[in-house]
Amino acid sequence: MDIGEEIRIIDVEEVDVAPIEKPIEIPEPFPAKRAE
Amino acid sequence: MRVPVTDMTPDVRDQWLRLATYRQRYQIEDRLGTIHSLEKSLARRQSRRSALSRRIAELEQALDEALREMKAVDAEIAGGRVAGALLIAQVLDQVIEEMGEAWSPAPVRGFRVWRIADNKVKGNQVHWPTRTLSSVCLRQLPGEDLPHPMSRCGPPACGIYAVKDLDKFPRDVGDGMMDRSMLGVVGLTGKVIEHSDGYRGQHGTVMAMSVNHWNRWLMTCDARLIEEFFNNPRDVMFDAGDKTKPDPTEVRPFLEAKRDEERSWT
Repeated sequence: MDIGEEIRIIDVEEVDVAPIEKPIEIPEPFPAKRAE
Repeated sequence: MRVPVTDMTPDVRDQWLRLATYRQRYQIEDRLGTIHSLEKSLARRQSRRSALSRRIAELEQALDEALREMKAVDAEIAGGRVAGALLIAQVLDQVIEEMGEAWSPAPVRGFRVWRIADNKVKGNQVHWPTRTLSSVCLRQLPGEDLPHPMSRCGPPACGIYAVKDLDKFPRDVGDGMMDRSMLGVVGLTGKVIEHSDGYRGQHGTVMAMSVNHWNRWLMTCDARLIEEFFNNPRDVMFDAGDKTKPDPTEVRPFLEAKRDEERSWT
């Protein structure tokens, strides 16, 4: 990718991009056992 | 340091005191042959001990002087380092000003394109396993910061690439219409080298994206969804993608708005 001539350096604060935790899956209530 | 004293037990001392008493009391020198030899041997050792004791005192004095001098030198070193730090700050401030280096607390944002292949997000050179990637360089030496200047390792030089404007891409790419591809806004942090048409950054994090694959479309700036997409593009596209093709004029303004967030700093 051609992005042209170098102009300057920018010193950018490094933000801490923490891994995003997956949402906790709450299980469905256990199905009631059917009467025989 | 205290010089140890050779002490005698009370029983031993008593015997030597008794000898002195009996020497006065009787003429017994002719019976003390072995003891005379022992006394001479002890006298030599006592003399040697005195010499050692004086030497220890001299060494202790020299040690005290050396410690005092070392303390003074330490103070001079500490002062020199402080003065050096002030000089370094002055010199580097001047260098930064002369070189036109800028500082930003916010990521520098630009546009990138990825392709989707084998259910993975791939950049021009490497696979992006997460939405954040740090640049690497085969020519990096220990202690060097990345990306390198163009003259050091290019072409193409290392770094996470991004362009300033979507017009830099072909029309269908810039509008987000290209199949099996992803157009996005990436936030660059760390050392960022600005070029006339784009940037090369040390670290890049995808902030927003527009994806076209599996006849589905997804346009989002949701960090969690973007992270999930990098982990499993196919599942996210089938779960969250839209079957309706977006208007080509929708993608560009969405991404440009995301690029311009926090842009005032740079």
